[in-house]
Amino acid sequence: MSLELKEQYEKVYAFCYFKVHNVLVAEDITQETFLKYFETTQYLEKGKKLAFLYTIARNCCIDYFRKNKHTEILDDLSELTVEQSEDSITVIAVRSAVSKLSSKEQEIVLLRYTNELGIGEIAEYLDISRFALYRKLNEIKRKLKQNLRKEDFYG
Amino acid sequence: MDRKLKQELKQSLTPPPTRHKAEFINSISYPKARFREVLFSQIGFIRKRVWLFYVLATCFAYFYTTVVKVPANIVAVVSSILPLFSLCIITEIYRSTAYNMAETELACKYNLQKITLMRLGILGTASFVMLILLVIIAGKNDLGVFRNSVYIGVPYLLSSYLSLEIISRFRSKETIYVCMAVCCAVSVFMMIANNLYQFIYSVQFITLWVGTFMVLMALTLFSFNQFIKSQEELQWSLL
Repeated sequence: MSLELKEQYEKVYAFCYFKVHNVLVAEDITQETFLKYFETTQYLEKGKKLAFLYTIARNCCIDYFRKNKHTEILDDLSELTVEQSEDSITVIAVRSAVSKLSSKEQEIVLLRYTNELGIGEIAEYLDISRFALYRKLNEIKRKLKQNLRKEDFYG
Repeated sequence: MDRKLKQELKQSLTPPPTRHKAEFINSISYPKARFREVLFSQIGFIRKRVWLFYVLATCFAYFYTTVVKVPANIVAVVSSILPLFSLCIITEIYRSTAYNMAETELACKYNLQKITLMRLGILGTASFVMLILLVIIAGKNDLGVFRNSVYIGVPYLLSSYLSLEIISRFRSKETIYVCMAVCCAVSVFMMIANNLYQFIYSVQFITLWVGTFMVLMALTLFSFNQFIKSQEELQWSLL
């Protein structure tokens, strides 16, 4: 296959997790994403594969929220704080700074810095130009630096 | 964005580990690589230096036969270069045998025998195009296409045959240096032959040239067949 399944699985899972904030639900949506992705082999021959994969993941997350809008979603984001970093204060500070960004900006941060997607790939997924994405990234950088208090992060 | 912030962003946004990843990956049926995809992927495995050499050798031959005014020894120049082409091909197929590289992975669907054939097919096609080009370049003399092809083909086949024999018989990592020496020797011999034994390119020797061409062609095909068969013994090709 053209995409590295194991690697992409983790990345799509990370993407879904930050949409739904629940490990089991995120993993279910990840698996559903891949099943739908592999159903459409004709597109895979020539399409923008990663953008396609992430679009499916996003749509699956939207479907999930539509179906469960009256159900209380268990948020297990707290699992993140336990083992992720030795310096928990820094982690909390960074996460707090990220949470102050808009959901679109948070998505870009996740795609760019956690999933390490290329500029071109993110631009394809968001359906914007690379130049526009660079502008957004600079804006995010500025906001993050503003949000991160000097004593917490750079101190 | 500074490196520390990037690292912290990555760490702080990394989700908890997945729980059913292995089960899902083992059970999912996804579209497998097609023959065409594997074939084209082989182009990426051929080193850039090989393609570079192909281009440089052709440019050199073209330059020597058109810009430099020495039309008398066009065939000799081109035929001296050709053993180096066969050396290029031999270094490529030798790598697979010596280092058991990434094609073991590809061999899960196509065994090494087929992978080698694909790669040789690509290089062979490139060589064929180059040969036609060189015959056209060399064809500026009055020997005709047939004689030019035979004169050019003999050193190419000779170096290919000898190199194939060497890598089939000896499987140490130093074998490639022996192939290199043999190909260079053939190349130098063709240059010397052109200077000292110019008469061998005359009409009365054409039968000998054609005979040699045919014999070498048969021997090369035989050696090639033996080499491909020898890859069957590799454990992963038996799967």
